[in-house]
Amino acid sequence: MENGNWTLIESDPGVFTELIRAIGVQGLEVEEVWDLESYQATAGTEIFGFIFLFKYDSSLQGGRQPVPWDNVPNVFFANQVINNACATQAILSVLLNAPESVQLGNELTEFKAFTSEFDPELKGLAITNSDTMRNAHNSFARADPFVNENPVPDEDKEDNFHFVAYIPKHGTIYELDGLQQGPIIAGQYDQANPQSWVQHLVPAIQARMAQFAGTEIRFNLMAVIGSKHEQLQATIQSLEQQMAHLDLADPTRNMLEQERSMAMNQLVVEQEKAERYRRENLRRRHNYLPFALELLKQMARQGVLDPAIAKAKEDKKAKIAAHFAKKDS
Amino acid sequence: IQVPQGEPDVDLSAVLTIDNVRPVLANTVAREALFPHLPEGSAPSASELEDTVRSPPFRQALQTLAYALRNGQLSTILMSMGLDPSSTGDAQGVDAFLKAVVALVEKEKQGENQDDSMDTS
Repeated sequence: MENGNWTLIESDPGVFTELIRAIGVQGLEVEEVWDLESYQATAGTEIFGFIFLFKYDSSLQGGRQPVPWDNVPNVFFANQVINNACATQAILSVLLNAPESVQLGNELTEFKAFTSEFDPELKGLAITNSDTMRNAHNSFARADPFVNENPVPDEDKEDNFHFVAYIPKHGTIYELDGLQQGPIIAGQYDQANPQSWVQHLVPAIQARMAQFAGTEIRFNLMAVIGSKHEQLQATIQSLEQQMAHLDLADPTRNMLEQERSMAMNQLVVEQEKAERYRRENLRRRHNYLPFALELLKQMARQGVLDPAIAKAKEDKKAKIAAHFAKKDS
Repeated sequence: IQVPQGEPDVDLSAVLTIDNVRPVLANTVAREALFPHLPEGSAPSASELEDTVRSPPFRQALQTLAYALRNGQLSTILMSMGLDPSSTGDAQGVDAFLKAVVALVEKEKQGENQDDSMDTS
C-alpha cells in the first residue's frame, strides 16, 4: 500500500487525544487501557470505543465472517486504503459511530453526512483524501526539513502493525477492521445498560490476545472516552451547587466537601497529564537537527568525536561479520 | 555468501550514544551551547539534555538524517546546516557529514585562537 503523503504517527494516548481535538471533536480523550476487565469500573466516564493495535498476521484472520456492510447501514465502516493512515482511521471508526451526544464538530459532521451513502472503499478513500484529517494526522510528524520527501524505510518492516476499532451499536459490539470486507460481530450487550458493552467485549479481546499466546507480539489497547477533565469539572460544580443550599452545620455538607476535595485532587492529576501530553507533543514536533549538530560539534571540541566514530565503525564491522558468519553456518 | 567489501558507512546513532556524549553533558560550556536547541518548554538542565539524547523522537531524527545523507541529500543538508561541502574529501554519507562537522570545529577553533592572540597583544 502506498502512503499517499500520510506520515507514520506514534500510537500514543497523547497523540490521539490531540488528534481528535485537531479534527474538531470536543469533550473526548484517549487513554491507554491496561486491564480491560476492571476498566469499566475505574474509567469514571463514558466509553465510546476501543482501539486495538497488534501485529498484523493474515493467518490469524481465519474463521471470522464479516457482516456484509450493506446489512448494517447504521455502522460507519471504511476500508483501509493507506497503511500510515490506519491509526487515524481506527479513531474515526469510533468517532463516526459515537452516539449523537458526542460533539463531532462541523468538519466531521459534514464528513459523516457526505459519506453516508458510500461503500466501504469509497469511505476509505474519502478519509485519505480529506485535507483536514491528513493535516491533523501529519501535524505530529517531526519538523525535519526533509522527512516527508524521504521517509526512512521501516527498519522492522516485518512488524506490520495494524489497528482495529471496537464499538457498541444498538445492542451489538462490532469489530471494525479496514482490511476486512465488513464489520465483524464481536458480541452482544443489553441496550438498557449501554455501558455494559465493555464487559461483553472482554471475551472477544481475550480471544484475540490468546491468538498471540506464546509469541512475543506487542499489542496495545486504547479507549476513546468522555473527557475526564470535563467530567470532574461538572462533578465539582454540581457538588458546590448542592453545598450552597445547605447550612454550614449540616453534616451532609461535610460529606459533600470531602467528595469535592477528592474530585479536585483528581482534577490536578488530569491537569498534570494534559501538561505532560502537551510537552511530549512539542518534543515530537521538534526539529532535532540543530541539537544533533551542536552535540557533534561539542564532541569534536572535547576530542571525543573521533574515538566515538572509530568505535562505531569497529562495532559495525563486527556486527556485519557476525551476521554473515551466522548466514554461512 | 559474500561479505560486502570496503568500509561500511558510520552508524550515526552509534556515534551519538548516551555513553559517547557523556563528557559533553558534563561540561558547563557545552551544556550552555546545547540548551537553546532543546524542544520548546524544556528546562535548561543536564538531566533534560540526557533525556533528550535518549528520547525516541531524537533517535528517530538521527535515523532520518542518516538515511537522507546516504540517499542523495548530502550537499543539501551540509549547506542547510552551515557545513562546507568541500571539506568532506571523497567521503560519502554519514562519514562525509561527520568530516564536515570536524572541519567546521577546526575552523572555529582557529578563529578563536586568532581572537585570543589579538586580545593578549
